[in-house]
Amino acid sequence: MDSKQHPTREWIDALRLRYPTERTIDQALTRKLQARSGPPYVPSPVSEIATRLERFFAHAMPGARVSQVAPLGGGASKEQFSFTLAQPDGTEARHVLRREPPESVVETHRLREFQMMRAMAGTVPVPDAPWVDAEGQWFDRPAMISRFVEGVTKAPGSGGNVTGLGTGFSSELQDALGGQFVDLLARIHQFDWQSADLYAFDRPEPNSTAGVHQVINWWERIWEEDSFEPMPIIRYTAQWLRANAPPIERVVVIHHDFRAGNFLFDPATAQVTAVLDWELAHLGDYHEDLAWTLQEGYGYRDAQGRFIVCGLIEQAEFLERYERATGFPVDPRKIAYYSVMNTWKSAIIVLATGIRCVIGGKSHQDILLTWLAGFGHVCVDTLLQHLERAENGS
Amino acid sequence: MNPGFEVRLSSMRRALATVIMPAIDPGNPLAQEQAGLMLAHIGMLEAQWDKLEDYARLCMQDLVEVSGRIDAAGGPETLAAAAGLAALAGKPPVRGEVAYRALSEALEELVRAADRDGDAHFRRALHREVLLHANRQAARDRAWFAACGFDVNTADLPSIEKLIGRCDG
Repeated sequence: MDSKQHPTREWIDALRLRYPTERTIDQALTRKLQARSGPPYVPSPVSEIATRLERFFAHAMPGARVSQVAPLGGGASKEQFSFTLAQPDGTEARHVLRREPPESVVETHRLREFQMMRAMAGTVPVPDAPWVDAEGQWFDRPAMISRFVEGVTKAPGSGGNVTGLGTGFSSELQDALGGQFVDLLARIHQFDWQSADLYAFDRPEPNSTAGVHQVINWWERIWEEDSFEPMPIIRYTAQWLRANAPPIERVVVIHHDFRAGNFLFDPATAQVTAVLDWELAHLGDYHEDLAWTLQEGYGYRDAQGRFIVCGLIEQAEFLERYERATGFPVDPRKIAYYSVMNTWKSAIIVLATGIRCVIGGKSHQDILLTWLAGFGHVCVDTLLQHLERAENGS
Repeated sequence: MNPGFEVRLSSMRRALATVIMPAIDPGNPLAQEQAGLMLAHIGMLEAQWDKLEDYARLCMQDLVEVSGRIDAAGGPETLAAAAGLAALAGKPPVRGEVAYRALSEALEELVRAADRDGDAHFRRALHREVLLHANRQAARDRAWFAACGFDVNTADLPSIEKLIGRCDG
């Protein structure tokens, strides 16, 4: 029997000791393991979601009315439902309920996502997030409610795989969106997080590698908890990352999944209307975000062999514009380091956690996660290329 | 045995594409997406179901050969993990997939053990083997999962038939 499917308390405690990480990340991962031997995911009828919303708003906003509850597509990690909320003053607006399935391809903490979205409002366009049910008191499982934002993740008829990977943009859209894309990332990294209400986040010590080791622990713990098929290269990479961790010189907000597919734009004006998917956000080194966005799998090479970041903007232009906007120097050695770390994380997400969800039947997107595992082998191939480059200093 | 997997999978694919998917509520995008993914999975299963054991044995054989090149040096944990890997490689489980997984686990354990008490020279040699093996395995797995459509560099990948030495299609 696969013992990871029925974790004992002793096993969970040993992992927590071996891989110390942020408090709320530890809480989310521990909660996942404690519920692992519980029942699989069963879709909730829309009527049940509607009832839960009505009960919640009877408490949170007496006199409000909920209508037009409907499941939304997309969203590999969380269940999503749209609904209309009529407030007591008569105004109506569409909202989105994001609820955790019993296990998710990325196990995260709703309070972190909620706090980060609220903190970033006014700095970059984000959906207004008025309510969180961090412990699942109202929605059975942890959930968050935000305002529905109009927009699309890709132009109608454009290419792209599930979840926006490899999304293709026309040259007109590249011209209109490429610059905005860089400027939004720059604004996230320039955000004054020290004055924000982000108590769910641990603050890494600047000029130290402690925060980097915490991130390595976070993901190696996930590999330990979730992997189904052993992969020596994943273990070796963890050792390499520990041995080569650079200090974080400037601590910034890391979005952690800043790419095409995770922002909405108005197809008529080509203006970005919202940056989405903040669930993996944390505080760290801006190179971590840059390297994430630069991943091969999110972009493509044009006829001249130039890499087009997220299908939007040529890599050299992306980096130059970022440096101009932030004043932060981009260190190619740190990009190389975090490219190794990020492809390692991507491989863990799709080849360990995604498959573990499916084994337990724990997610609303099991069939998508099985399909996404195919991306994992591309990640491993890319990881090997990054390791070689980082070791050779090229 | 009759009808075989090929016929059964084909009938599932047709039922899904021609009867079930058109009947799905257009207002339920999640159901539409998942039906599309089911169709794609069935297509991959049709292409791969009769090649799985050959593929798994090919992957397993590579790990057996890796094991044969390992000359462990270090403390007791490293030597014990290397002995475990060698014993498994000498008599792997019969089913290719099970054997591959068991050998991968034993090699992963050796990587961990070598980090704790492996001789430095041996660690370097082991890491080189792990990296070279990962390169070969990633190329195989990319070919196996190429139909998922995530790989932008498929031109250099062999077909599954070529990979497993079955060029009769």
